[in-house]
Amino acid sequence: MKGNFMVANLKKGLILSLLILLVGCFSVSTFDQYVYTQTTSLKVDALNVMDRATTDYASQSDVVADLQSKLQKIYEYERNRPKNEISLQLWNTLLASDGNLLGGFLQRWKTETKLHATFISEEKKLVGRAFDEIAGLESGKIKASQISLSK
Amino acid sequence: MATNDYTAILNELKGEITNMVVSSASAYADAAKHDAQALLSDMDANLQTWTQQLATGEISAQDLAFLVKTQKDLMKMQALKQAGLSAIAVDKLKNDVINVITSTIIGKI
Repeated sequence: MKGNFMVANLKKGLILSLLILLVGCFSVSTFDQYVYTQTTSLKVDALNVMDRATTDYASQSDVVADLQSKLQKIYEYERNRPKNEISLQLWNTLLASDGNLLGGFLQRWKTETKLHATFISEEKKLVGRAFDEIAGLESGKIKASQISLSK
Repeated sequence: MATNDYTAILNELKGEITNMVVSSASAYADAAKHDAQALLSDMDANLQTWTQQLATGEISAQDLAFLVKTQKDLMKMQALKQAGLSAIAVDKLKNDVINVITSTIIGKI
C-alpha cells in the first residue's frame, strides 16, 4: 500500500520534471509586441528615407542619422533578448553597410551622393520584403500566454 | 493509480502525440514549400524587369549588379526566417505535447 503510494508520487514527480524540462528547452524567444510594432514602423520610416535618395545625401544626412539612431535602438533591444540569435542575424543582414539591403543602400547613397529613381524604387521593394521577413518571424513566435505552464 | 491505468494513459498519449507530430510537420512543410515557390517566382520576375530596365537605360549596370546582390541578401534572410519558423514549429509542438500530457494525466491522477 505504502509502496504503491510512493511509486505514484515518484511518477507524478517525474512527469512534472519532464514538463518543466520541456518548457525550459524552447529554442526561440517568445513573441514581443514591441519588436513587431517597431519593425513595421521602421519599415515605413526606412522606405520614406530611401525615397529621398534622388537628392544630395548631404542635404538629407540629418534624416538618415535619425533613422539610423532608431535602427540602433531596436537592434540593441533585439541583441539583449535571450534565444534571439536568428532575429539578430536577420537584422545584421538588413543593416550591414557592406551588404546590399538597407545598410548597403544608405552607404551607396553616401558614396555616390545621389541615386536613380528607378533603382530606388526597385531596391525599396526588396528592403520592404526584408523588413517583412523580420516581422514575419516575430509574429510566428509563441505568445507567452500560449505557454502551457504559464496558464 | 494502477499500472493498467498508466498503460492506458501512455497509449492514449502516444496516439495523440503521434497525430500532432504528423500534422505539425505536414503543415510546416506545406508552408515552407509555398514560400520557396513564391521566392523563385519573385526572383524570376525581378530579373526580367531589371534586364529590361537596363536595356532601356532606366538603371545602370552598377544598379543591376547591386539589385542582384540585394536579392541574394533577401534570399539569405528568407532562409533564416524559415530556419526560425522551423525551430518555432518544434517549440509549438513541445508546448502542445505538454498540454496533452498535463490535461490527460492531471485529469486521471
